[in-house]
Amino acid sequence: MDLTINHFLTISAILFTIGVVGIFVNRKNIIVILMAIELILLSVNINLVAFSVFSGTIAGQIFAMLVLTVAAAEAAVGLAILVVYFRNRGDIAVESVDLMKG
Amino acid sequence: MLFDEAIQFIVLGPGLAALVAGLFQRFIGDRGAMVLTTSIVLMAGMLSLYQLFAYAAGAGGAGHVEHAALAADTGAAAGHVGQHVIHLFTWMEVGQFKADWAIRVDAMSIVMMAVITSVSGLVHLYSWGYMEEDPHKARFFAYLSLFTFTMLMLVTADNFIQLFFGWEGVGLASYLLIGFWYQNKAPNDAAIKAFVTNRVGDFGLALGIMAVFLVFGSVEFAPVLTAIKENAEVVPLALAEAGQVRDVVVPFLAWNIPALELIGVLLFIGAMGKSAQFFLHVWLPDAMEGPTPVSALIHAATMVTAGVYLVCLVSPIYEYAPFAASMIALIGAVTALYAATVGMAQNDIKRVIAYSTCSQLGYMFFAAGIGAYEAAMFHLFTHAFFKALLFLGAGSVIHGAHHEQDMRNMGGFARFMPLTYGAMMIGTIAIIGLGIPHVWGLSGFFSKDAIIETAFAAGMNGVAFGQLAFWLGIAAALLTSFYSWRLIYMTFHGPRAEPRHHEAHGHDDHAHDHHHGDPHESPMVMLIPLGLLSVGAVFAGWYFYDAFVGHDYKEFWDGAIYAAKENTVLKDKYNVPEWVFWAPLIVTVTGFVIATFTYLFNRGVGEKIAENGGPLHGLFANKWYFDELYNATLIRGSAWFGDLFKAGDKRVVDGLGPDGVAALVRWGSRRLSAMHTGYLYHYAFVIIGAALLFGAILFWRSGGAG
Repeated sequence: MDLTINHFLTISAILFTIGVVGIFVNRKNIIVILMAIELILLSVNINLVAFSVFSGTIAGQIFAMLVLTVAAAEAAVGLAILVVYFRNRGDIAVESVDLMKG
Repeated sequence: MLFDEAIQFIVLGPGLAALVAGLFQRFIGDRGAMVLTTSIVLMAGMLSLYQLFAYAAGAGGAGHVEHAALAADTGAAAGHVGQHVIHLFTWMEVGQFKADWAIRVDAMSIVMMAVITSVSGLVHLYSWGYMEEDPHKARFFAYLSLFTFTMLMLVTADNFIQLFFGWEGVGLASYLLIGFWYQNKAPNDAAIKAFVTNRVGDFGLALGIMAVFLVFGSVEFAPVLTAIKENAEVVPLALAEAGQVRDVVVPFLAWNIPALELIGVLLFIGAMGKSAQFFLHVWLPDAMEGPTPVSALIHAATMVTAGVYLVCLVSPIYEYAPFAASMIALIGAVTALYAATVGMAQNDIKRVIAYSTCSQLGYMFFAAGIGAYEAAMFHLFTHAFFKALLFLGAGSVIHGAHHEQDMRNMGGFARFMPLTYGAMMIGTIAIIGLGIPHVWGLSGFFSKDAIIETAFAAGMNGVAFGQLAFWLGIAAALLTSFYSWRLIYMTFHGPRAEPRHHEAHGHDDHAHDHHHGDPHESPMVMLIPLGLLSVGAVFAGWYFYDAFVGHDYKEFWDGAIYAAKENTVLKDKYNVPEWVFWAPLIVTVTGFVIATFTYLFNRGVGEKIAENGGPLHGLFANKWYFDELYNATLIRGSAWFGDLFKAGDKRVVDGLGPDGVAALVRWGSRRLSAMHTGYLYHYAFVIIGAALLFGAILFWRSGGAG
């Protein structure tokens, strides 16, 4: 069985969906949300790399490297916020993060 | 004839004095305000009296020189010959509509100026004594002068708009003065009552003026009255066909009414309000809550005479509006009798005199209604003197008796205040019209008998309600005599009533040492006006009889009052049967005898009659239950109507309008804010869901996968 682009895209879609669902159904803590966002970014990376390979251009792979860098920075900032938030509130349960309630 | 400057001083001087005394009272002080207003009004009074005497002499005697000069400087536009208009400046000019500030000098305004300024000047002077202890003297004198000024503007107007200005100004000034003691409830209520009742009449007047403009396209007296006299062709602005003015028909509500009738009735409604005629008279007795000098001013010189003046001024209209004229005659005659019956049963000294004014105004109106405008003006003129005299005399009594107004607590005052007693006697004899026919009498005799005789003549000539007016006038004369003598006897004669120590002293917060002691005579400053008015009350009728209603009346009025060719009542009054001349004297003496028996010789009989009088006394004492009737119908009715609209406004207008929208928005936003859980993932879900939806829509619109 040959690997076609559809296999890669399917994997990517599955990962993306897991990421999105992970955000919504998660009731535990904010770290899980961060992880879910990482998962979404990775699924995008898979897409980019797959398109790059199958179209024979290198741009997609370069872009994937850029996304990885941004994701790392984002994870660093996100975790830093998380730490500060925990210090302020003493809790990182998603249920209690409702300060925006009108 | 006076110089224009002098006439301007008469009219504008009091206004200026009121302005200065009112606005700059802090700088000139009470004393300054009193000196300023009193001196200016007294000067104006002397000037205008001189003007009247000079004019009457010119009109009556051989010396027609001044009179001719007066006639010479009138332009072609002037309504009648003897009219001289000092144009001050143009007030408004919009298309055809033109109103000036002007001073019209003719017989009517000369008479009125003399009455207003002379009585007002004396009232000013009198107030020096009467208001001695009041803390707001500057305000009081400023109001008095304002009252005088607005009344002068009213009588010297040369168009309806300036007249309306004066009319409303008089209403305002009366409101301010009746409610002068604003710290108490009763004066405030009375002031509001006077103002509101007058609004009803003023509404009629305003409609009348609009109707005049509609029909004639002008609100100036001269063109309007000339057009009626000449039966000229007029082109109404709208609603009506052009035609001879006496035939023009105007639609009003659902009916087609002759234009002159409509105007006449509407203007008379205005006059009814100001002059306190039947149905709109209710404010007048309540106006007694004001200080007594104010009552004198309202009843003698200003305010109530305005209605009579208006009716006489537009005499051409009523000459060709028989229905309106008969309505005036009827209302006037009924008022004359009605007020006299009520006056009999009152115990407040001022109220008795107030109802007597009401009754005398009735005489004036029915005289005007039957076509004897000159007689109405004559009675207005003489009445001003003796009514001012009576009121100021009553004020002197009240002042001397330490603000006691109830006649039941008076008695035997004659020896404490002989001069006031004398003045009141003269006033009483003048008002009952005592005099011997064909010989001599006091001023009331000349003017009232002239009215009664013309009423009889009118009845013979077949003028509507002439006969009725005559009989009601005779009956009212009987009652007038009775209640006037009753007042004298209850106040001045009999045993000295025990001074009652009552706590409810109301407005007089003065601290007399002898507060509850014997009554005392008033100071000179109050007695001098009484003396001067007594002279007027005695001689005014005799001196001016020929000029006003006698042989020289045509020359005197000189076109200021108009009578149609068929209207000859003023001449016919000489041709009535002999008994008509004697009838007023007979009933007057009868009234005097009855009063003397019940209130002088058999003191106490009056009270007994009052107690056992049954329904009739109750009817009179309660003013025929007019206040109760109006309370139950008009006031309750309008309160109910107001409540209805208040509820409607709150429930319907506000309910669907501002309140409803606000409630809807609040309800909606509460729903919407429930969606804002504050959970980040909810927002994110919405964002992604929306993005997916958009993506799907775009995808589908661009042809989809296939």
